[in-house]
Amino acid sequence: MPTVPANRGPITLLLDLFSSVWTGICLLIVLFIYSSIGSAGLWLPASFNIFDFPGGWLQLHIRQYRGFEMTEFEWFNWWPFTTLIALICTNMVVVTLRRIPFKPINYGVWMIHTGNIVLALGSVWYFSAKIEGQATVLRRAIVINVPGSEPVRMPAIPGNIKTIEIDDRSITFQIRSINPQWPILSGADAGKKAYAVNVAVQDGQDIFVRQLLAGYPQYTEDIIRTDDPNQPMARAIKVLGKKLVNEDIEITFEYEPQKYFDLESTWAIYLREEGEPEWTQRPIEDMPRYNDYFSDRADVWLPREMASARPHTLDLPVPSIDGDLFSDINIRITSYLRYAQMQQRRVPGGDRIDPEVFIRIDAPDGRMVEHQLVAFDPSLNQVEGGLLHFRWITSQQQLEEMAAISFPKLEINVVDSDVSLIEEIKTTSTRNPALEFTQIQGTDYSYRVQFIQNNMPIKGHGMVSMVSIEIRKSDITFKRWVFDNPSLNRDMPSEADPIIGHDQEMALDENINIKYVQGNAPPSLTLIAGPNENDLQLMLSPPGEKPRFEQVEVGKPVQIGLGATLSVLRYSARTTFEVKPAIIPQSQRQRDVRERLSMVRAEITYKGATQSLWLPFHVHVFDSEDEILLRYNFKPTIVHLSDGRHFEFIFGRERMELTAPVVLDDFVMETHVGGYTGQTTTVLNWTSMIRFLEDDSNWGKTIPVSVNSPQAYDGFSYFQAAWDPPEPQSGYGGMNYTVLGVGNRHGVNVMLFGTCLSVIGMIYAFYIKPMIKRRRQKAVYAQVIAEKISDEVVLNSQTVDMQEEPVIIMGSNSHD
Amino acid sequence: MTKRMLFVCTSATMLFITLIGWIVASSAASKAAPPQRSEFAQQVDLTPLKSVAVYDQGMLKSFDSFASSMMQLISGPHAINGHTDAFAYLDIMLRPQVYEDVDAIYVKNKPMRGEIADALGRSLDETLPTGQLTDNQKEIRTSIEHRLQRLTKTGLVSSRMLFDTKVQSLLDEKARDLMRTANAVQQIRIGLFVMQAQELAGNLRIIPPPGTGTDIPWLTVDSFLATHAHEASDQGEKLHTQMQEAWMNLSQNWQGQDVAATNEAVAQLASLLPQINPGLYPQQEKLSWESWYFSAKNMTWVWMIYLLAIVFLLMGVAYKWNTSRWIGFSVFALAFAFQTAAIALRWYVSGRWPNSNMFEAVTTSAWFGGCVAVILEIIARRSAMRGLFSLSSAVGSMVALMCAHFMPVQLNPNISNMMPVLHDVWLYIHTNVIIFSYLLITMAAVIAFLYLIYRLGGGKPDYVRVGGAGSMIIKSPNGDSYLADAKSSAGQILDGATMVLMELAFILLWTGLVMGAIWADHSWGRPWGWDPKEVFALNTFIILALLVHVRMKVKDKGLWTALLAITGCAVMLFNWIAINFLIVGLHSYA
Repeated sequence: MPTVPANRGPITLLLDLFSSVWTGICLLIVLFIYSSIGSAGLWLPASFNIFDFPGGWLQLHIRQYRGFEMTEFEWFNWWPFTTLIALICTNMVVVTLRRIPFKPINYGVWMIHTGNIVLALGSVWYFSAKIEGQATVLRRAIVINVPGSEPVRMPAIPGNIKTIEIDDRSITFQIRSINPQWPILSGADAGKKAYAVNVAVQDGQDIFVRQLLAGYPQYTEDIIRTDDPNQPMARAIKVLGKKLVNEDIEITFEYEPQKYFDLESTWAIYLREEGEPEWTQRPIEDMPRYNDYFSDRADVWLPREMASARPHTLDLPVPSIDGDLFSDINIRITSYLRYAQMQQRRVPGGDRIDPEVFIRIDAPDGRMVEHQLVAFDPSLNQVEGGLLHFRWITSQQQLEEMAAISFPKLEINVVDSDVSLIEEIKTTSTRNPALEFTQIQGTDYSYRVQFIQNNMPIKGHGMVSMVSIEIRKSDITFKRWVFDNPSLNRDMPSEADPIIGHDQEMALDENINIKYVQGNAPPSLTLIAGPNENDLQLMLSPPGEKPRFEQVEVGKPVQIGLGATLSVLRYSARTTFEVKPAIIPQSQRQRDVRERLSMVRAEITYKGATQSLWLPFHVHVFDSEDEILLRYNFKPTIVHLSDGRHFEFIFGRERMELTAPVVLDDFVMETHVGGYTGQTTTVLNWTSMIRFLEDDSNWGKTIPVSVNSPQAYDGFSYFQAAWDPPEPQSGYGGMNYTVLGVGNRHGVNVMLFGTCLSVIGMIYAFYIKPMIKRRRQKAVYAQVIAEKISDEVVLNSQTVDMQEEPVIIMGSNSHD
Repeated sequence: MTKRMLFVCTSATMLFITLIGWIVASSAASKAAPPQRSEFAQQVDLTPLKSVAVYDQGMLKSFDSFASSMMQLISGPHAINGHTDAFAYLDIMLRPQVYEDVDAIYVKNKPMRGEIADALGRSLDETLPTGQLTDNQKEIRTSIEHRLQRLTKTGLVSSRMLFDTKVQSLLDEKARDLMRTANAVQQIRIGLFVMQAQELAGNLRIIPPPGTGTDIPWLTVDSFLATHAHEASDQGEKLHTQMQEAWMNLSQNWQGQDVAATNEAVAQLASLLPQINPGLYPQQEKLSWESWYFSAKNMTWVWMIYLLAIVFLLMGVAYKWNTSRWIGFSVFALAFAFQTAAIALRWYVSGRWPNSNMFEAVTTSAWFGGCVAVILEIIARRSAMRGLFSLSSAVGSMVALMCAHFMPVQLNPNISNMMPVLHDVWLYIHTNVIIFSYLLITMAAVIAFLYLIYRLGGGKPDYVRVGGAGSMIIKSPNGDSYLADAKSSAGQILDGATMVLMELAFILLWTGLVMGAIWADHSWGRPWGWDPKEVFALNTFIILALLVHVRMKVKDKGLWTALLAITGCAVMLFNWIAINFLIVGLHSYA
């Protein structure tokens, strides 16, 4: 070990520190920890059973915490990480230069270290200049030319509609359907498939469908209605003898160029004056990503599991950038919700009586259930299968009516004795097995009620109610089912099983006619509000007993029998509706929705007047409603400024201009055997045939972009990112647009060079170096034998060799 | 030295045997005892169906392979009533009523099993409350209670039980928690859905479409019979009628449990199907091989042969007992030959190199380990390290095949098409190099583990002065390779072997990562996306880099090398298990 100078300067100290392999080891450990936390998060045992995987572990995604709010990309591009990499590189440089002599035996480690440093430099270039995003490109637009009118253009998306007015003539054009795989049946290209668009045209009385085939303008033809019921639609050429119903109406295809692409993991506000075609963009910097920020709990609907969530405020100015015509409109972001949906809910307040109550029922075994009841809403005014109702009364008299009980009755008529009477049913033999037969006065009949079954749905008769009674006439006892509709009555032997009784049916004793009349009994529990707004009482009506009333106070449990209690949690006589974003609880968030259901609250200030509104996230900002692609949303929020102007606002991703507008000429899907059946695994490949605008006027040659085969054009790489799958259920043919990934890749070749260099270095250090050493040994042994030196010295020379040039990849370690 | 080695190997063997015994016993405990199969099930002959092709999600499979993939959706790793998958498929399809109350649907999620059993228990208390029960009712109650107990163990439940209102409301509630339980409910509902007779019939697409187009879906028998014959010829009409007859015979005689007539109908059907559109029908030979491969349970039982090899190799290494070592080598060679056959067969059947799902990744990486062991054993045939490579590879392969054998739900053996993004030569190279390096890391960890046992037994802190490949290449003064030296201690041998594997793993892992970046650059437009799977592959590499540098600096090189080799293996396993199943990123399909 070299002697340490007494007064080492700070530079020497630093150099020594960076010359130490231990420093490198420590830095590597820190790197390991940093990247583990950023990627998988921090894992802590959450229970004693650490083998319960992953249930027994708590995962902390620190990267997503408030204050961090970083994507993986951002976490690994953050200053602590770059600093760490810089330190490791410095360490490698210093160690290599100071400690590892540049000799053939060390070429390996030199190459590895140099390769790593080149890789790091390449990465710095790559990641700091990285731009990536997605461009959606629609296949076609159609252009309609009618003499006397300007050409009209609309994107070829099913449902799009345009009307042309010429004097008092009005022609409507609607895109009826698209078919990306229309088989061509004749001509030179028979057997090929083409992209077809059907446009329904209504020109006064004339109604026809024009079919356009991309690439085959000569096959454009009309399909018209016929009177033939077997073939309601027919080709015009077959019926009229000409291909087009009206040759004045000319419809042709045009490409639909895309000028922009949406940048990944960015945020922006777009605004424009209503009616203007172009959006003005304002990027938002430092937006959170994973957590919810709202300044007031009253701004949102909080889910139960977030009931105690504290508000976190956000205040991000969204400054205008160059070229912004509306720099006098001031925008600030005051809230951000990662996963929420606008919802209308009932809240206390307002002028209207619309009583609402929240109750809880506690069972003696500890179970409990909560309900919301709304008196005027038929779907919400009873719960627990009709046992508990909620009513509003306007007078005391109404209350009495509700409490009135009438027993169920039997209307009996015995023909031969000419006796008619009405008997109340007070109890049944099921309930009271000791029940005796009741004699029907003036006849030799007596009866006993077995059970009552109200409101049964019977096919063909709607709801029916019945009572099963036993009838005794002298010695004979039989059973009768008596219905509220007497024509359904049945007699059967008394032993008949009530379930399979039909089999043993016997002739109806027509001498005795009985009709069942249902009684009226209030539901077991009725919560009654009114007539004064603060009045709340509970009517308890056990079957067969007179109802009793209990005053109810909010928060105080009331006994409702069998040990159960009912408590009113909240009651409001007057309620109204409010629309706010409802935060979806964590457990119900779908991972792949990502930020698609996020929203921000923007505070818009113009000439001193401020208004706040929620803006939902848009994956892509379209220019007009005609352009909305399937599975995309587009709903600008309209803002009325104080000077009477109307503005549209959209919250979306930042967008950037492509180096050249791109169009989609064709989209090809290759499939495995059996064709596309809805699963991605049946697809072999997708290819977008794209073209770029060259010299501002011509479309360049067609470039195929397919999975695993990206294409570079003018500074950006284009790759196949997503597609438009067909939806057979709705008859949608799909493949009407493509989503291209767009990105730059500076420094990729530098990184590749660095990694290749280190691979070669590793092979050298592990396999070439031992061979060099072996050759040297051979030479040494040969020399030894030649000089006839003793074995002892040979061993010494071996030891010396080991010390000077250890086999491990790093260089000399003799300094420690 | 021999004593130390003896201690190492004896304790390792005992540990091993206990572990395997425990795994086998616990898996046997969770298997439902198969009830006596009916006479019909035993006698019906489905061998003609082995060469019948079924269309399934862009692939033509053999009927056995198809039935096994469908039955797995229903009963997971279990066989329904002890039937073969092919028999169970047809039996449920043709006699669904018999299976309504058979415990056939597999509930994978363990807490979910308990909750379903609880819900059913509550239902049972309502319908058959204890107390006033007749003897008959008591018997029913006991048998249901018994089935509920078995449900918590095996996870099997009947569709009738799942349709219980209490269970249904439980499932509805659980389905709302997307983070924790929705997937578990989805798995049960898929099982219920697939088990419906009309679903089984609707998925049985065994009729090739007319014409020559390969992008037209195959047909079910019903849709074929409902339309006109493919060919408007006498021959075509005749086939159509014969098919109708065969199909009717099959279903009627099956339902009537007539063995002879059923067998005849099966044979007739199997001979008719290839005639309908011979141009589109796959080769009979390939279909029968596929059937054989699946009826041989994907040959994952080869783990038992590896186990045998391990026992002999351990004894050979421990006692320097040549006979045992040679027996070990031969058994190892036999196991490796079987494994090679399994890989080749799978390759032939699926038409692509088997490396597109977890099952294939695990078994193929184990096979790579076998290859490297064979090569290294040849190179090190005269060194003291001989036997260690095949031993560690045998352990790796055995564990891999045991995982595939005992966890068919997690490691699904079914053959399916690859995602379009995976059709790429760089991807092939990248994933194969990566799994190759992973297996090397495992092998190194096995030997490092032996080293640790050696140290625990009081072994000297020995290490090789010339580590890694150098120990085989560089010769000592007497002209031998360092590790051929008979005087090498057990510690030196183990440490040297660990380093040989570690160096290879180091290079291959790095190369694999670079190749992955090349592929990602041209398929996703970014070479490195900080995806969890990527980051943890890099983390594994960081551990290996730490190993190389720490080894240089510390005194007790052998110990630290062993510890870090095992740490590297743990990080690799974390990547493979935790990241794959929990933190799914872009690499979710591999």
